[in-house]
Amino acid sequence: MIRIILLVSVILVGCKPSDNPIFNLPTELNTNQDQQKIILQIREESRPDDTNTTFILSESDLPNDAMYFSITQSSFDSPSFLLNINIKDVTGIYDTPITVEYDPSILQFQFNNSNNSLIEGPISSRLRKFLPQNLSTLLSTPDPQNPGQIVISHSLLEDLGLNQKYSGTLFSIPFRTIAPGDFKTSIGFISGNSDILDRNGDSINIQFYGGTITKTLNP
Amino acid sequence: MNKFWTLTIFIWINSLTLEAGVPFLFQNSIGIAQSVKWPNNQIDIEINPATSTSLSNAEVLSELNTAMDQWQNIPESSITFNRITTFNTPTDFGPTVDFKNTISFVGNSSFPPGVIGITFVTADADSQEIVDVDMQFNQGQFTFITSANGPSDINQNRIVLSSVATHEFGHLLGFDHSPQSKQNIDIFELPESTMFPFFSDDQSSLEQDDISILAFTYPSASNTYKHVIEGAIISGDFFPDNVTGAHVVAWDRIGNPNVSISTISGITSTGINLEGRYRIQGLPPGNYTLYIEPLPIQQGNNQVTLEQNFGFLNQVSAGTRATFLLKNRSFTPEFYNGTAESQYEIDSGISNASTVLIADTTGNQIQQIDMVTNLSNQDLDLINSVLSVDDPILYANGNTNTLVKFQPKDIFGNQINTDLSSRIQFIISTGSFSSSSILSISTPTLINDGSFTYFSEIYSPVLSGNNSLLTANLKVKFDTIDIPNKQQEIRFEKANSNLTEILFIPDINKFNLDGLAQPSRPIFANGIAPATFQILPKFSDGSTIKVSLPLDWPISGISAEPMENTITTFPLRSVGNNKYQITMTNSLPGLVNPVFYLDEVKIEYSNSISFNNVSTNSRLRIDTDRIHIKHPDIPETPKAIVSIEPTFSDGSIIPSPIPTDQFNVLITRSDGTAALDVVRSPVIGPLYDSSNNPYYQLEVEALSSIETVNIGLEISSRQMSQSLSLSFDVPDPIKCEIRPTKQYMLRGSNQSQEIQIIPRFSNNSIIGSDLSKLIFLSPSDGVLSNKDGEFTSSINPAINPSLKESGILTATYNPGSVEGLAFILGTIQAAGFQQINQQGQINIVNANPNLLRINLLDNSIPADGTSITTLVITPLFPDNTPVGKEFNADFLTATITSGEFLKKAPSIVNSNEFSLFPAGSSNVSFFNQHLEDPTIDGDYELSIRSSNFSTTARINFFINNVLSLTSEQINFDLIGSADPIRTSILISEPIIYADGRATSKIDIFPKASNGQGINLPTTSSIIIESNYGALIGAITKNLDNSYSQYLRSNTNSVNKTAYITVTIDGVRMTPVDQKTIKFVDLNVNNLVNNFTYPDNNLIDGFDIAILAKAIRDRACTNNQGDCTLDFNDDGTVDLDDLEILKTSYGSITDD
Repeated sequence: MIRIILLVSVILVGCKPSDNPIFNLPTELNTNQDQQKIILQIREESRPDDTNTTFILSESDLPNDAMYFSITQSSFDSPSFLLNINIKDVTGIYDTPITVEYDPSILQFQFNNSNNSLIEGPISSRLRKFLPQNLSTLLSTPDPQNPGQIVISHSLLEDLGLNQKYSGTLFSIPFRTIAPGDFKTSIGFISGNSDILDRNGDSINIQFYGGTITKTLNP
Repeated sequence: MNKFWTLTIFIWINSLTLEAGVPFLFQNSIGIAQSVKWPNNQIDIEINPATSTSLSNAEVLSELNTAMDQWQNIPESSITFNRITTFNTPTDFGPTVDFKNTISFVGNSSFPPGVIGITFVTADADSQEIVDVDMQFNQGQFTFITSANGPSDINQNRIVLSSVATHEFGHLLGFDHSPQSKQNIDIFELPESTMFPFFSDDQSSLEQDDISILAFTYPSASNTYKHVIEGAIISGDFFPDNVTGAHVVAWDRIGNPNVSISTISGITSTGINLEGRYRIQGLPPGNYTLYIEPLPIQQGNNQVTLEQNFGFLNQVSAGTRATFLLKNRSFTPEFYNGTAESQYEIDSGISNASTVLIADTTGNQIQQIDMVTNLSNQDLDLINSVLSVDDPILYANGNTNTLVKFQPKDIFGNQINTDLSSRIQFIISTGSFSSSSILSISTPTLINDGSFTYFSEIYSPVLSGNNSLLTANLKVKFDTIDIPNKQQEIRFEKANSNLTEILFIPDINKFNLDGLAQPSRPIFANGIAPATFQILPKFSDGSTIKVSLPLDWPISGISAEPMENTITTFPLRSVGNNKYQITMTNSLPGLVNPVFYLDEVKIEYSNSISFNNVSTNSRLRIDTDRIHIKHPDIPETPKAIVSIEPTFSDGSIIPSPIPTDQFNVLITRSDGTAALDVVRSPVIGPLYDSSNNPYYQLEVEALSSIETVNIGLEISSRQMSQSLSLSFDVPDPIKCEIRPTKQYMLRGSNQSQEIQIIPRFSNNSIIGSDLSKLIFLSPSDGVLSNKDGEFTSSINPAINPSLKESGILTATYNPGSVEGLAFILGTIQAAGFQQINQQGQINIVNANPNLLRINLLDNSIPADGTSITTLVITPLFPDNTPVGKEFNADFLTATITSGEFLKKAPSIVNSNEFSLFPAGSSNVSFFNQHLEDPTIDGDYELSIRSSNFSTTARINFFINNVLSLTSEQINFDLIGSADPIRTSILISEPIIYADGRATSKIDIFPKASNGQGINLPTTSSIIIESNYGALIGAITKNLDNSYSQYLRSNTNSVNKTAYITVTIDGVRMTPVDQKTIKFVDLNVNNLVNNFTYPDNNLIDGFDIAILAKAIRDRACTNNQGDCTLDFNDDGTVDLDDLEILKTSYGSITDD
């Protein structure tokens, strides 16, 4: 009985909003006051299938060697947004073959047949930050057999050594919302078809974090 | 399993373990520690006095009775000891339960060194009942004496038995030690509890601390000691937690200072808690002051510790014990002050301590008191805190204020989320934290915005006299200790005499209009013109003073040094934007040194202000020096306008208005006599020119006679040196002029032109008056007319012109039918009518076919049978001016050798609009643009539509069927065919995967021989051919006039090269480089079947990664190495192979 009381006490202390960042959402995710604001909350699973019960994480909660989403909405009255693919403190990436899964009845991938649909991240975090543009390849395409899946490739074509460290947005995927009204939908990485590879093509031990995207229309 | 637990209590020579508010705790069978007590209030005690070697039996019994009576004689308790004397040596003492409570003396060495006795207390923890107690005294090391032979001498190991035994009977009753020591607070000495762990003879009698737990545990029927104060102790640390093991004391300081009852936080009669809860029981009614202090407690050389002096931590699990000790924080002893947080230290804050009133004398009153500890100053490092002042400079008028803000931060720079407002103080050396009194110390207020920032208002003092600056030092204290480096200077100031801006405005009217700074100039010394100053008060740091300054003299205002009685000053006034304005006037010329006073601060102006008289060199101007004499046929009397510009001696204009009665105009004849018959208007003004400079004006009318007068002027009785000459005159016919506005006119047409007549004086100056009735005009051929509708004819050979504008008269001329020169003649009244010397002369001509201006709007159009350009023709007179709209367009025709003409005509649908209609290619007349747009005079146009595949066309022009000589100069080429070399052919993917699905796009951009992109007509034929692969679908034409088609690879065309040929309108295009598409083997197996990565039958990122790694590793160079991914067989795995792979990215494989 004493042990139980002790444990309960620790949990209560740990869950206070001021102490535990798990329940302390970042400010930018909390100020949901504008019309048609689209927000993304990081979830602890790579493919969150339950949008109500699992933990919501902030970027600071994530461990190193993590890949996760964030979004950029240019204006609150626009249905378009960028889904950013971010990594946190990963060393020595050369290839990022990943597959992103979403609900095609709610979101629409802005795929461009003739040009690459992806937007490279800022210079500080882009994969080829030490290489010219033609020495990297960044591709995307909808999976013809699986609607709602985007097959993405990102590779470096020149040897850069082993110690390049990356953190931030690697690239962004243009999306638009097609579902009317409020919604909450999951977006995730299909971990079986997603990996981060080092110079030798070996897998880097990385954790994928999916998310939930919420659109709120405020009258 | 033995259901009984035994506590073994050692009685140390230097640390006897006593208890008052702390009961013994026993761990029951489910692991919970609880207090115990005797089930009955009568306890049998078996005493064997004979075991004592130092005392007689009677002495032993007397000493022990004394001790027992201390407990038994408390009226509020019903406990009694049934004392049984025995001479049997007990053998079953200790953990052995025989339900006999024995007391004996032992001389063997079973005691640890220094222990004077052992008490074994055995209890049934489940029923919370004591069942057996045995007490032994160590006479092997100690000599026990009676109180009569006392006091005890610890150094000699001589112990008064009753003193020790009183304490020991407390244990026997189930009480642990008490932390309540003898303690001096303020003027009082709090008594030491009998159950205090350190032995002294004072413990031979009970104190309230002991009596309270006794009465509460074993109450009598009359007990009134049954009140309770309980609550919890919480750390006031930045990261608050509960505090266990704190000594909590309730002290009736006011009513009975000897009453002090204590306990330990984390312990209640129901056991141990980790929430810092405490419960002081058995309180008599009183007004209690509460204080807390941390354990361990140091007393002399001894220290009371939780681990060594109390038994309860031995009755809990190791985890609970460790947590209890972890939460046993140190803190500064303090009084409870009635709020959540106490700020009062035990040695200094007693006067501010709050009290808890227990007033009930019959019932059972429970008070809930939570206490929060101070934070130890030693743990504080607020060096990263932020001190800021909204406005570090305040105007020193006694009521301006600002906010000082302080945000405490810990050593890591983190915000401290605890209300510390009662512990922070602001100190200011001068000024005040109050608007109504001098208050140099402030306890700030917490800003309720989550930032945990604290603020106070600082009010300025009043600075009087010329003193403009007072500096204050603001610092911050925490718990009365200065926080290092958290200081700030605040300045109380008035206007700074050096930095306050003073702008001298000589011309306030102009300044009010444009707001621009003005150069220093004199002020008119007439006692009216103002010298204006704009003042922007500033502090010593150059910032603007934004509070309103007092305006009334003599606190504020302007004066002069020296102050003359000719100077008049006006009060200071606010003009907004923190600026002020003030003026002075002077009725005497001279230099004035102004001084300003702003709220008693004297500010000197660096320059002198010059007050001046008007200069005799002030400027006079007249708009003309010669006007026509007054004449009955001139509708308005001719006038001259005189302008006056008064200036100072430096030439600058006097900006301030001068009353017009200060101007005296003097008009004289050449003989010096006053020309009193000359009519003039009064002087008016001031008027303002485009630069807003003032001037004054009057008008002088003409006389009826020809003569010249002088105009002079006095201003303020000062004679101006300049004078003006004005002549009254008549026109000079030799200088007058009749001027046509066109040199050529079309014979017999209805063309007209304006004829201008300009009358002039003998000095060639133009006469501005209306002389139209003094002039008569007649033409040699054609007709003249005027605005009155009069025209010349054989009956009326001459007419007057009409007034067009000052100095210019006009008439309208229409040509006659005679080809050749026509003349306009005129006479003018100039002391009798005289012939105007300069006559008008006009050429009356026919249209000339050699004079055509030709403009082809676009001389290169596609030969597609649809493109159109426009030809604009302008027939010209010999002076290259257009003949005009009167030219008959039917006379102008053209012929084209290829294509056809289109001619504008009113639309069939809407006659107000014009459309193009086919008009043939030969002898086509032109269209007069004037009919469509009246603003265009004399342009004629035809449009031309190209024909298919014609490259040139030639146009001939005719006037009246006479071929124009200029027509042969016009060529225009039409180009429209695709040039075989210049036409561009682009291949989007020169190498594609030979899988039967990959495609490459072929784009054709037709271009003419000059390289210009062309839009082929719809009748053109475009053919694309390839010797391998399959062309998909039809050729499509794009919006940019290019053509596109896709070529798809065949699965049987591996390593084949397709040659692309393009034929346009039967001509094969021959670009410089041959256009090809190569089909290659992608070797999908090498990618999707890679053993490392998942194979999902999709060309995906893993396949790209395989190839990327091969490129990085330079796996295949010059056919050396692993070349299985060299898709295009060029001997190297490189970016070209990646491009091939990318064409299949996202494709499903056949594997």
